Amino acid sequence: MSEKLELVELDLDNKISPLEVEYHCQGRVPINIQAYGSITRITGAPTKMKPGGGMPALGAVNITLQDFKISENGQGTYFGRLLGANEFFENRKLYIHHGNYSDNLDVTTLKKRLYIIKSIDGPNSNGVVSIKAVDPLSRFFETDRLIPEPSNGELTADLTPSYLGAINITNNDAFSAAGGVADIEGEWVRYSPLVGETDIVLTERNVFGTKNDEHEAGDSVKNAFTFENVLAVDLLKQLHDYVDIDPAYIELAQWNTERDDYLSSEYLTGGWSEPEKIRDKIDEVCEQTHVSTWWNDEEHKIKLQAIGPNLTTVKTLEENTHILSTGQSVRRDPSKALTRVWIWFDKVDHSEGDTSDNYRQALLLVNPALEADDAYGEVRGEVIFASHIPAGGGASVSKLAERLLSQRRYGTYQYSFQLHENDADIQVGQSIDVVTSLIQSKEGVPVTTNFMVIERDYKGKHVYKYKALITGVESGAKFASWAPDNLGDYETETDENKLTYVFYSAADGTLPNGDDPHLWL
Amino acid sequence: MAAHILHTNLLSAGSAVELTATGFDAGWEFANALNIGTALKAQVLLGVVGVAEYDLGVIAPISSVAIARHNFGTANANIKVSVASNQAGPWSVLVDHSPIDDDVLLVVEPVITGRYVRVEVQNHTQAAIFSVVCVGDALKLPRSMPNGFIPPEFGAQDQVTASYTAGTELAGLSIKRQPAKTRAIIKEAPRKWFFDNWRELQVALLKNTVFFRWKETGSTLYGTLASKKSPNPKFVKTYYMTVNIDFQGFIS
Repeated sequence: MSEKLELVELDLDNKISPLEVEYHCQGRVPINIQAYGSITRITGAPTKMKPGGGMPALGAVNITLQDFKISENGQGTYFGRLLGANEFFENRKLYIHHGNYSDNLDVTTLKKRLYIIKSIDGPNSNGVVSIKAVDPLSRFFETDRLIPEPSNGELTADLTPSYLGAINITNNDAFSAAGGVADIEGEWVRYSPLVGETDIVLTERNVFGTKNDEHEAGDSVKNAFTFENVLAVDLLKQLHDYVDIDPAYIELAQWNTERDDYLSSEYLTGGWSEPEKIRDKIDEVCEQTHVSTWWNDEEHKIKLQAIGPNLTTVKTLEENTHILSTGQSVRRDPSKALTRVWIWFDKVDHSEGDTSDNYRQALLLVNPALEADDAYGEVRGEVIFASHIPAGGGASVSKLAERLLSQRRYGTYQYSFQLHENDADIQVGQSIDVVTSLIQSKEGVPVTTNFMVIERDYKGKHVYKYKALITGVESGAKFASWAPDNLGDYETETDENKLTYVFYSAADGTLPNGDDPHLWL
Repeated sequence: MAAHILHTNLLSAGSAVELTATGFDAGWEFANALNIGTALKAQVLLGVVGVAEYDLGVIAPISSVAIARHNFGTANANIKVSVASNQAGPWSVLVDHSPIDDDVLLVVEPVITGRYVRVEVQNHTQAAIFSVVCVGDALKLPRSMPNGFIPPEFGAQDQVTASYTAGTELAGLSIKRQPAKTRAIIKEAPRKWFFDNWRELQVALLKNTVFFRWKETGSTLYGTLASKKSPNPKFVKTYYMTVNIDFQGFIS
């Protein structure tokens, strides 16, 4: 039998407690921990992943505490003095250590969720203090985080279509010191590393498919953020760096695994010259490559995941042994179903908008079975302008279309459930097979169904609440990737590689050991 | 059989001054344990004797020592409290006690009057930790009235929740610790007892956390009034009064 313990640590610049750590406890304070039993309530919402949809809904936590006298005979109260010592508390870290009570507690054994403090209200006349904190991805939601940085260059003289060399734009403050691309009234031009404070030196005209033109004195010159043949994951990393996300929050090895396993051919080209919210741009890149990012508060990492086949073992959750008796439900919304998808790619002029006549290629993928009378009985389509997928990106577009149609076959199909902490090692982004009587065949037998966890929240009493979505991956299906060139023949390879990759088969269509061929994507 | 309430801590009174405190771990000073509001703790590491001496600033009767949280039972620690009229001595030992468990501690002895108090923590076999130590003169309720009390150990309200899978397997249990509750009925006490004691007791009950024990062999409850409303004594006979006091708090 275990007793819940939540220990909030305020990591402000100036500490006032004897051990220079500000611990506040909800529940009984362990005897060997210097903590104040001041917390009256902890509420909040977990981060909510959007499979294939870019950035998540932010996680947030609200903590209510009761102020108290820090000394029997001294002046002031704890929070009065803490806030007096910390005039600036915004964006400082707040940890919630979470686990079970012990009289000999080792704090390092507790799970530790990380948030960023946004506000501390109070104390009020009743001594009540409220702290609001959010996950570190909030950095993307700050309104001044725009890409590219706003720039206000202006031509001081007319510019002919053929001119290359230095031009005076009055102010090159927001331009890239290392050189880059600028937008002169719709014509994108390359410039070399900056010299001085007023000029840029043009080295190439009408790049990124834009039209070569003459320009007049007074025309605006804006710096652009561009990328050419950059892998999607590497571009997302650049965008995170752009807002100075702490590099420690990015588990680069995990991102690179996703890149190499699922997104090794997603080379993107494009750019932006109008300053816009960077989170919208991350969503744009993610939607064109079917990628999600979210904050894992226990691992203190920004996770990145491509929505694709499961290449590792999937945990099965069964109603009899794992899923708790309360809190199960299934929600279906067929109005969001897709039966066909058009994806335009190979954009012509990157300075122009997303209309079909500004694209050279398109892919239309239809699932006729879903449009038949015994299914939806109508066309339900979606048009995607994959502005960053270049001419050679046919395979990327095909993959995106297949996965979108597969994911949206039922519209949205969400399963909510609860697990005791003994089984709650399942994390957001993880794929699970579920066996529950809420999802049955026509014979009444539970149908094993694959979901992706999109939300995980501690409900209290050692119970975690989960939400999961169908992403179109079939339970038990076999998937593989083509084996890289540096691997040997099938029979000489490791068991892991045999299970991971596809090898050319014999003429009869079987693998050398007689196995059926695996589907490859 | 008598009930005791310790509601005033002479060591944290405005006139009290710490003269010396040695042997306490850095950040775990003895003064931490005097602050009810923070409930911070004092710690004496293994192999060290913790000694704190206080000048109360006034000569006062002292009969008891109480500790709300400690591990003295687990750590086999001994607490010794001595009282003197002069700091140079002689010191009279008021309490020399080795708790057998980690429950709330309240030791009541015959009164010694003095101005200086020495607290020693010793003989422990692992780090000795304690929080909210209180030294003062315990109030003895006027009559033995065992029928008027619910032993607090039987008033525990801890909530235990079982989580079952949809297949009716037990997935796990969790406990939510709740304060124990008990009611003290001071029944038909002489009016004079109320005139002598009630005002001070009422103020202490409303402002402080108190130590309450319903009989010598019973458990001690560390807690507060269950309601913010002050108990209200009523005459039951011409010269006798009765009052119900509802406490809530913790035993260990």
